[in-house]
Amino acid sequence: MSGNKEERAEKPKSRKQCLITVGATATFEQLIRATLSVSVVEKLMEKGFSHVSYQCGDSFALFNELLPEEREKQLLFKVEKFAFKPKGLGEEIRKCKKVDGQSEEGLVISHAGAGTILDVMRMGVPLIVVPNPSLLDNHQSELAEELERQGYATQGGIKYALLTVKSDLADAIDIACAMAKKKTWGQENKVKGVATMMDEAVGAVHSPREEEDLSLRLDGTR
Amino acid sequence: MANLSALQVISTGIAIVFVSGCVRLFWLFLSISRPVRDPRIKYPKTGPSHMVVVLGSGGHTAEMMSLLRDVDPTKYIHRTYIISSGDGFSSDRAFDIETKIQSRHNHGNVSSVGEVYPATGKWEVKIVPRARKIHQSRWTTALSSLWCLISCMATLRTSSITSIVSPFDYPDVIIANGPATAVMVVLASFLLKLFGFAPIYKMKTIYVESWARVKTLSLSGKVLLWLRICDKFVVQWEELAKNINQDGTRRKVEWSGFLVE
Repeated sequence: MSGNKEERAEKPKSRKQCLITVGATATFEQLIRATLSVSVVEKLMEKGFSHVSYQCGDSFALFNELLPEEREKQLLFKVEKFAFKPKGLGEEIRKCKKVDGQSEEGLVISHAGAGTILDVMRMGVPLIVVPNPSLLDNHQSELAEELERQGYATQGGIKYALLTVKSDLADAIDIACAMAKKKTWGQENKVKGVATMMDEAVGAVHSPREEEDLSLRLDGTR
Repeated sequence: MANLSALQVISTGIAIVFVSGCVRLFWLFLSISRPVRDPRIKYPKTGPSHMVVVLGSGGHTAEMMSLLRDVDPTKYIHRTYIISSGDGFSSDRAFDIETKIQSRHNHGNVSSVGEVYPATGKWEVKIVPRARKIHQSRWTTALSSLWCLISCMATLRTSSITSIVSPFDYPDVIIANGPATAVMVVLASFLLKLFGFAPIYKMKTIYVESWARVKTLSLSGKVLLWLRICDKFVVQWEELAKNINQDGTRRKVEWSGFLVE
């Protein structure tokens, strides 16, 4: 992979960060393997990422095995690796955000955990969601599919990620980076919140159900 | 009259208890998802309320934090967080939720557990034993679930005794989202109402299915929907609501968009 460096895009002046996260609860070795595959690493360099951080979870040892230091030095981006962040990933996700004059629009490649997905979407960073195929009750891929259908995120697969041509994860990076204007989260969810539902339940405000009842009663007496 | 046998007395007693139990059960089911009001209070209610929040593991708790963002601590002056033993992390999360809820009212001073502040009232954390530990066998699970249920009832009882809204008044509303403890707490509140410990207009239950559930319900959601004991059952994806409500003749679950932020 150290081959023809000259052909690649020039190193950007400003920071362009990618965060790869496997989550804290379940082991997700395949995602680490997939993101360290030749095709994905080349794709990240082609897109001009200057920094890539890996949240490896349980697979920290595996990460070091797959990417020994001498290989790390050959990469065009700076590698940051850690098992977990005790204070959460908020700070890491913020680094991927576009800030004028400081950093370009980055990317997050994440496992399909709802917490991380929401954090990323709230900050408006391009997102690839990779469902973990080894989880038995696989509602994660349903979530990833629906988010892709509604235009909030890109679904990434890891089935063929290790292939040099037609790697599905590398393709997902292409799509996610090309999504010019992502759908921003939070615009469409101006709905009745839980606080209002509670007020209705304790009777602090009239609930719609109650008004229905009232109108029925009025109709009955008429 | 004198020759009433003991058997007759006992069987009559059982019959009376059974019939009144059935009547109560019927009444209770009728009251679910219907506005049944506390007759002592004028509506709309302007006085303070007591809420219970069921917290679970990481993901559920993070979502709960987002769900409760608009809760007004000057209205809900008593807030009880129920967590299961072993979720030590969740008690820190309860503090995070409180920090968010109180931020607009306390000028950065967050009250600690059990403290009563004039503006934001009091919050507390109650711990109940786990219904099921990982790798636990079926028979011991039945026992530990029962133990968990009893402790949930006891917890709701003790939190009612120390209620700062009005001592010995049961909580007004219970919010739960996905963890197994949610089923136990909702069931406990139902049983307390069934046995007449609590009036039926107290402990209205709101279950919010996790945002991560797009097409199917979680196990807790399935159990609670099957039992039909939640006053409000909300899902966050339209497709899931359509899957459950089917033809829509009877609305089993409600949907009005994403509730998380």
